[in-house]
Amino acid sequence: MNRIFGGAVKRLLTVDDSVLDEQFSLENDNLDSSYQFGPSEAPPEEVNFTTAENMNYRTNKRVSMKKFLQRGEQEYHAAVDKARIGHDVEIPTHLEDMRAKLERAFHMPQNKDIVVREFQVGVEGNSKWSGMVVFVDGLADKNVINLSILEPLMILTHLTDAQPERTMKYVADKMVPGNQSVFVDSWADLVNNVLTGSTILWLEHCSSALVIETKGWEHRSVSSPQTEAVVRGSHDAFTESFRTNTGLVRSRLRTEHLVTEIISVGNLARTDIGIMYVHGLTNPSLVREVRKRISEIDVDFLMDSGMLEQFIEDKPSMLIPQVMATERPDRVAASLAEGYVAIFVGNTPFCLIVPVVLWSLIHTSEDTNIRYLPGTFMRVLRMIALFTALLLPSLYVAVTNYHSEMLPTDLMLAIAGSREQVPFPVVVEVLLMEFAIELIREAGIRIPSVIGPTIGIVGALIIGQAAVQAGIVSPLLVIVIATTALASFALPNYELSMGVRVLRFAFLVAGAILGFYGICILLCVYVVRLSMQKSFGVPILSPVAPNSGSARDVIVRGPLWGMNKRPTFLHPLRSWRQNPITRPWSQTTEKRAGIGFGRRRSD
Amino acid sequence: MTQSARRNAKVPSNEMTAMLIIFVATNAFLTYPRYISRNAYEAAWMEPVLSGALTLILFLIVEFLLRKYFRNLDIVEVSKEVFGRFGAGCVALLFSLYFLCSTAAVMREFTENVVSTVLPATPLIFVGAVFMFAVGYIAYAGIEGICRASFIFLPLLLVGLVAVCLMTMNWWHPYFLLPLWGTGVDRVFVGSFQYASIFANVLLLTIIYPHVHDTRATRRMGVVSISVSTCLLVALMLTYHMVFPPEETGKTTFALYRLARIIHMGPFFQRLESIFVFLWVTAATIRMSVTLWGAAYLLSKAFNWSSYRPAIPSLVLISFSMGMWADSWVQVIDLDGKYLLRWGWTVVFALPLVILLLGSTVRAIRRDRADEHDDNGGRMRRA
Repeated sequence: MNRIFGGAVKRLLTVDDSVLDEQFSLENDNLDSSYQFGPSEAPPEEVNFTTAENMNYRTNKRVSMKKFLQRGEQEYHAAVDKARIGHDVEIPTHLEDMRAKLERAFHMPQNKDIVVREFQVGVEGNSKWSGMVVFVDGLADKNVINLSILEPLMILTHLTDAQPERTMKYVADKMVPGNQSVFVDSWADLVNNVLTGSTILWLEHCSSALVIETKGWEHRSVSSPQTEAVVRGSHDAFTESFRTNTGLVRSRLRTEHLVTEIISVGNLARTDIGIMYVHGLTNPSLVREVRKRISEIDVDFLMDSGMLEQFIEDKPSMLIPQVMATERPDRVAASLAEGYVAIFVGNTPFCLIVPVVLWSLIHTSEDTNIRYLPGTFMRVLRMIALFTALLLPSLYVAVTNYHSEMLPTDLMLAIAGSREQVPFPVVVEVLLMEFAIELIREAGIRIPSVIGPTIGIVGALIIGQAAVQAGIVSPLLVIVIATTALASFALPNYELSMGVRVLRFAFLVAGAILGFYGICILLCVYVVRLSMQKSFGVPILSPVAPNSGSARDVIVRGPLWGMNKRPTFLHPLRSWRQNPITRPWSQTTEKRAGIGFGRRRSD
Repeated sequence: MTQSARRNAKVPSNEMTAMLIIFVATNAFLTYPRYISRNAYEAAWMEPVLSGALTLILFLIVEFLLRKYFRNLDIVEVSKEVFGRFGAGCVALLFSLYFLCSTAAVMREFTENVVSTVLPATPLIFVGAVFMFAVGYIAYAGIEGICRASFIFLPLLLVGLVAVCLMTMNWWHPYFLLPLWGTGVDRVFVGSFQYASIFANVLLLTIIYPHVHDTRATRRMGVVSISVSTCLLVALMLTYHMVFPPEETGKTTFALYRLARIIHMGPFFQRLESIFVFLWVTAATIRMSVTLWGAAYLLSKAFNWSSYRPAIPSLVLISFSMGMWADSWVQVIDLDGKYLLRWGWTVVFALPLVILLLGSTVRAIRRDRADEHDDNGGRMRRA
């Protein structure tokens, strides 16, 4: 007791760096490259990135930036190649070799995720036939392995000593009832397939292995969309399963021309990227560009669609997204039928649609499902919401600071009266409120659902009542900020909403400094900036600027029977989406279908 | 984007039309109404009509010459054929100087308008600097960006101008427009010619011609842009002269603001001049970015620069300095009226027309000589 107390007093009163030494530190372990538990155990085979040839750039000799970058690139590729030692070699044919190679490749026995099950194929005779299955525990379906691989081979098989039947092809054709199986000859393919959840069946004296599809990891089942809910429309959303996601789209768009290409990205760990398009409809240049941008990504690990988006979009520094992320399969199917390209990224519940135009970010899949007049009304409402979310606080600041004469006298007096008790300038008042709203929004996302409703009550009390009663903000400003927040939530695209949140502050500053003049100047500059921005070769303000004769599908939503052509800015191979006369039985619409109502001459 | 790509950028004709309409209609916010009102009094609304008609005729002539002889060439390239590289450089310098002076004058007039109407406590230099920064940025984006922005903002401009005209309806006095010919027919005609330089369509056509996406639509582009901008100016002038007596109209420097200021449609819709800030800021920004881009583009073509873009910041600075050079607003208005508006037609109409006529003559002579040469060669071969 005395010793503990003495130690505590000593630490309080003396400067003793040794206190730090009592805790674990990574700093001194740079030279330790072994993952073994103890120093007595032999270190595994490892890749040394700091070899002499990799270190030879540490010289004082000056080189040009171009040469420096080239050298860095070479060194990087050399290091990555080293990390793949043995990947391109053939699969061993002897059991001991195979076992050793697996242990080395998957860092066994430390790595407990990899399961290697050795067995004997049922042979009636003296000559044994050894084999093994390799899979990742947690990724593969064990029932399938037991019932479709091990049981047939070990129990149900009764081979004779006859040599010709001891081939992998014979086993695949006659003995293993897996619904998807493929032969692999290289070690790299074997490793990749193990890591994707398949099971490798290897039999001694065979130079190839059989990959049997046994993917069966746990994932969330298909549920309703979290960020794109609609009233009239389907209620399923993508989930954390690549194949489920592609299947959801394919189940809607049932055409043999729907193509899904898969590219793997990642040096350390591979992530499957699916590129989906309709062959014969989507512009081939667009598909090539998407393929090129994805295949040129050179990263160790690509985890999510949000990361891929930043790698492939034209200008990631723009606040307006140039790729549309959606969790709705119906939206993806509809976009594919228009000529867009969809990108699935590994097991993420969002699909990317490219290219994107600004107007499609305020559309929802519901717009098409409801009749065109309410659909147009909803779009106009969202457009107003966009401008409200962007400009309302800055307009409030500009009016109260610079242009109060434009308000009717009664309203001006009401505002002046409400601000009488407020000690801050208007812009500070607005910033305080915006800060509070942003806090509530951020907290609302992260707060546990059990106490979720509390945040609403607390936020409402702080902002709606307490702040006004304390004289920190005026009641009118509460209405302004609440309306802005509501407008912001009305935007259907999350990325656009985020961009508007940030842009709003820029307009706020412009309005505070120069009133309407500042807001207008900034608006002009941003419109020009947007008009020059492209998304995968398509100007983001298409079909308005540059103006192209597409069917009415920007803010006004034309009647479905009049929207005969696909968006021209996509340059699809098939521009007509439907027959010009789609309601021949109707007296009213049949006459108009070809020329007038709801469509332009170019339709 | 590379300069070659920029130079070959093609802009749809409807976007070009929007840009030309805004370019001309922006004069409604500047000193043009003041000068024509002072010149013609009650008949001031006729001057845009006559100026527009004159511009339309010249536009059609120039378009014909360009289409027939100089397809996909601009005025600098034509000048190179006529005067050689040095002469073309001088022509480009002259046009660029005109554009720079125009930019400077509009900048100063515009910022003085802003400061005197909506931002009285803000320093003039700050307002001007922000404005020039925006103009420089838009000009830097190039003709595509300017035209696309014009196409987006044009409906706002049209709605705004029509709204200003209609919302002052309760102040209209149609008899203010009488006598019909105002200060007299001769003054109306002379004034129409003198102040026709606001219609810069002809000069702009000779610059943007290689950028027009569909040259077959150029004629329609000119007719529509000149007609619509003339209609807008006429509507504004008619309204202005129906609201204020003719003696007053020549004294106001900012007609649109005065009109917007008297809007009173019940207790709620009153004093809406601040809303129209959006209108005239967007229009003026686009107009000035066109002149600034034009100056940089002509210089880059004349002196074979690989890109016009590096010239933009320096041209912004020069025009800003020129705009701030005058001591007062009155001095700027005097200089603008005395030189740019009164003699602008020489640069806007006369010079491009002369260059194109000379160029077409040179081409015709060359073609005749080539034909003669071919005929002689044929005769000799036959002999």
